[in-house]
Amino acid sequence: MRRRWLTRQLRLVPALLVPTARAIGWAPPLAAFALSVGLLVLAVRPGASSAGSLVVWLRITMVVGALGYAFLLDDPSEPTTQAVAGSLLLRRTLRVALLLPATAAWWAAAVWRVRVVHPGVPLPVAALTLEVGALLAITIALAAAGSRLAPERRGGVMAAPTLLAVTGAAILLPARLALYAQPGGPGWAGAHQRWAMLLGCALAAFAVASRDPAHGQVRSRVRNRFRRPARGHEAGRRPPGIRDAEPETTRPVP
Amino acid sequence: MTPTTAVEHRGRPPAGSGRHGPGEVAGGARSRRAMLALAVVESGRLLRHPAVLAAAAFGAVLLWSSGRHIVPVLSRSDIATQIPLAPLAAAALLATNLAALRAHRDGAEDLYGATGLSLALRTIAHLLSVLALVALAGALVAADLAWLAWVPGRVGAPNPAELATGPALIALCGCLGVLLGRVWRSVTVAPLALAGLAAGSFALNLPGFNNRPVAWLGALRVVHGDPLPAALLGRPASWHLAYLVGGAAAVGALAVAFAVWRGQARAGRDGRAVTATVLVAALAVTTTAAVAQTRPPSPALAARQVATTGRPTAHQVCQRRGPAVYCVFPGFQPQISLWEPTVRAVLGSVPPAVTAAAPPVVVAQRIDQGGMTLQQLALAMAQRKDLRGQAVAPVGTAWGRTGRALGASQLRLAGAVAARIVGLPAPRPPAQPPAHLGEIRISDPAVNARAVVALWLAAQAGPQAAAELRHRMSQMGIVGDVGEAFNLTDQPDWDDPAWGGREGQYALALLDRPPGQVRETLRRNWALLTSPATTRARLAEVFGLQPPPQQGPNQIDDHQLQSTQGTTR
Repeated sequence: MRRRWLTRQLRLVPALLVPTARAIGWAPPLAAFALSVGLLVLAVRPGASSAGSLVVWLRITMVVGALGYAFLLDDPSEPTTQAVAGSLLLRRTLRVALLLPATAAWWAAAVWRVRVVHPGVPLPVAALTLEVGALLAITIALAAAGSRLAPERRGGVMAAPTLLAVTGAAILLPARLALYAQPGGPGWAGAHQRWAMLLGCALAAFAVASRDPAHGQVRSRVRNRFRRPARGHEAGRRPPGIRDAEPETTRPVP
Repeated sequence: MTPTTAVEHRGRPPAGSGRHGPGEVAGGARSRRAMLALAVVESGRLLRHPAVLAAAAFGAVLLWSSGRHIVPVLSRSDIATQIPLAPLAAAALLATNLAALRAHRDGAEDLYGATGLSLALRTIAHLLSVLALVALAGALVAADLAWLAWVPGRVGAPNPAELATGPALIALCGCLGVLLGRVWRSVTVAPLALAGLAAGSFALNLPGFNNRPVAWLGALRVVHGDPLPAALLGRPASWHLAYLVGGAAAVGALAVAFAVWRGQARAGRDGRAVTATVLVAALAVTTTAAVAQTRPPSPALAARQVATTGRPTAHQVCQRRGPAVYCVFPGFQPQISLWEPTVRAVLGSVPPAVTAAAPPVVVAQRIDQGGMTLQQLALAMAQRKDLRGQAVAPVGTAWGRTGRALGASQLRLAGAVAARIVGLPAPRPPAQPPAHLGEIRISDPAVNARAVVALWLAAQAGPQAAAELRHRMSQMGIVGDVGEAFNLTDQPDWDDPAWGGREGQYALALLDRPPGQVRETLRRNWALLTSPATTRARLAEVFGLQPPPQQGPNQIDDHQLQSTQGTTR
């Protein structure tokens, strides 16, 4: 059953690609990528520099780039597209997938800039890529959760400030729980275990926050339909004077 | 919202009234009242915004945590109010931007067009609502200062310009949020602008810019290290305040100008002229302040900093209290009562006959050298080398209130006092000035039995001091060879004694013994244990100690008198 559902969803992907690409607001993520790389170019200049300071600038680049991701899921048309065959999770995953090439290019450009300016400084690229992956996943999860709370499903309004707050809180974490460890420091390995854990949790949270609300409603309607006889029986025992709403009380719009 | 809208409708000027008739004047007054009513409503909404509430709570926690560890020096506490208010400034930018964009987000701009309040007047109302956040920040700062002013031993006086800098930054960020909302109808721009501003200010506070006046072009200028006497600060605080306030006014005027342009305003010629005048005046103030604050520091200030570091005694006032003489920079006298218990605790563990026979210990304040340039340090070092006089026990300008901060303050002073009382030679400045900022050269560390005795005496200043000594030794064990020399402070002066790492190990072993037993043995063997010719092995025999195990690759023979050698960190 689950497999058939998955197959059906995947068959929809080619049909959804172009409309999703058109629906995405490309300006926020691309502007964030451009701004973050611009800041990095201004900050990372030739001269004496340590791996620690370069990592700090790469982390600032990550946060600024992730701010653009906060607005990726903003879709005021979501309430009207609840009824389409593709699930909300599929539509949102497609949005993320469509931005992935640009994200990869952005991160490669950032790392390349640092490598070119400071070829002699060893840079832990794999660990930093894990950090950026986890941070982007957290941002997407925040945006998905925020879209349930923000008006017009614009979760970015909540996700962007929350991302800044989460980053600030992560900087202030005590040493035994630190996420932003110094390269070569004693907490580096532990911090990246925590980043990997956060990546998994954020992806799970994204999936949970992207459950299709329409499916839930359909399921509950079906369940209610099967329960109707029992409810009708209860309704028959209602005190006199309380009636079901009559359909003709709602007047059609002329 | 409802009352405001009602007022707006009433405030609409009559159609077709081109001249300044009495009806239009009355309509203008009503529009202003409506604008003020809208400003009050928007202020309330801003104060209730979740980001503002969270940032205000976070700022209050930061203010509390920044002030609870150190006995306040109010000429530093005023600067310390600025960084804790930065989250509130960030929240102000985001919240005012969202407020300015609310009509656009809700698709209600056409509805607003039917009201009497023009976009320009609504923009002014949003700008006025920022004052609520400024008042909130002012209340936080006032509460912080009132709390710190009650702490016993606090010294100095706050600079009003420094105190107003945090609220001024909030005004600037709030106005910027409104401007961004008027220029770009997108909620994406404000977070990105905030990130750019934060990254720029962070970059200007990095060591590369730290001593350059251009760093003042950032939002805030962070200070590190111990607080300096007010005369040595050299911060253009008033100009920086003018820079921020002028910037806020310029940004606000720009927002109104954009609104006038966007709304094809019913703004009259007078309104445009006022906006243009405010914009030009604000830009003039901002530019003047920017130029003034980025001028290099005056040569007189640099000379004063050098002289205070090189010849501190010439700038200090001294007073005798009990067994010690205390020399402080003017205004720091209340701190003497904080040092006295530490000095008495150390001298209390020394045989009374020794204390009575010894000259009074001179406890003298020293300033933190962290903020000086290499050239200034070289000059100050040359002056200090020429200085001849009695050896002193240095103490910093900051004194801890609780926990590790208190322990660190006590340990530094107690170690220096103990060094004087056991007769260790006075430390000398290193032969060469530091090669780079932050380099600490440790020369002539105190070694052999009397250094062990002095370290044990230092730890008698209190439980926090003993804990701090153990902590410092454990950190040494992690980062390197325990045989390395070490300081009892992270901001050592040239008068601060340095200590041999092996002596530290012996002192910790001695600390594990009952203090009364050690004190009694010390009383009976004072001359032997404080003799420069007594080895650590001899001290271990006297106390019946097992020599602590050595972990480093270079094993030290405890039976031989240790010679001193300099190291650099």
